[in-house]
Amino acid sequence: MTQEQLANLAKVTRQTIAAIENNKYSPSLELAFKIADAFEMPLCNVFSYGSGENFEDVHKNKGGGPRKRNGQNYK
Amino acid sequence: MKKQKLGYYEKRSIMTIIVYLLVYASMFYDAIVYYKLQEPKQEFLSFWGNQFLELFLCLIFVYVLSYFAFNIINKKLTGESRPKIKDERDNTIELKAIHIAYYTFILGVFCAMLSALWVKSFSPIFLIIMATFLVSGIVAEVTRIVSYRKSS
Repeated sequence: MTQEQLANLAKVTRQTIAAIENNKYSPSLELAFKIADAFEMPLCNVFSYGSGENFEDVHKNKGGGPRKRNGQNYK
Repeated sequence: MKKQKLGYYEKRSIMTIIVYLLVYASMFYDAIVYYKLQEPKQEFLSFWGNQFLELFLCLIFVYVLSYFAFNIINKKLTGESRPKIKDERDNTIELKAIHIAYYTFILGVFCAMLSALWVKSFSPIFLIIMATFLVSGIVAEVTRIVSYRKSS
């Protein structure tokens, strides 16, 4: 899944998805649920408080998410 | 660190700052000319009333015009059109910019009142309030640019 496709599914801009991936923006609970819905995964599999498998890894497993970075907020 | 390209809203903020500077420069020029005249044509209060009315109408007109011109030029140069949606990140940045501009404006009005206390004249009040409108507008746009840079 590309950033653009995820952005369309979550009804946000591609820049917002990029900011979440780069750990520059923490999404609201509503947006977090929308992103989890887009991945068809429970919220706790996509986002988590603290370190661990991150949002980008999930995104990558779905065929998107090109870069790796130190995640703080996302699984 | 990889440099990010300027986004649509950042470019629009830069355009808005230029519009502000041009409109306010003409207004300040009018004020300078008025104060240099030995026998001004207009009364003091009617001059400033006229100035502020002119300023707001001019700002609205020039802003709308430049907004359309910016969209057309930006589309031609970069192929990037106006974002169709304004999401929560945009709204958060907008709110932050308005918040900081609001406090800047309050500070400006406070300075204008202080000047009235010291100088005991109306002139600095109007000049400072006009400058405050300009500064708070620029502060809002700069906040927007910085916030978008930080979160991209």
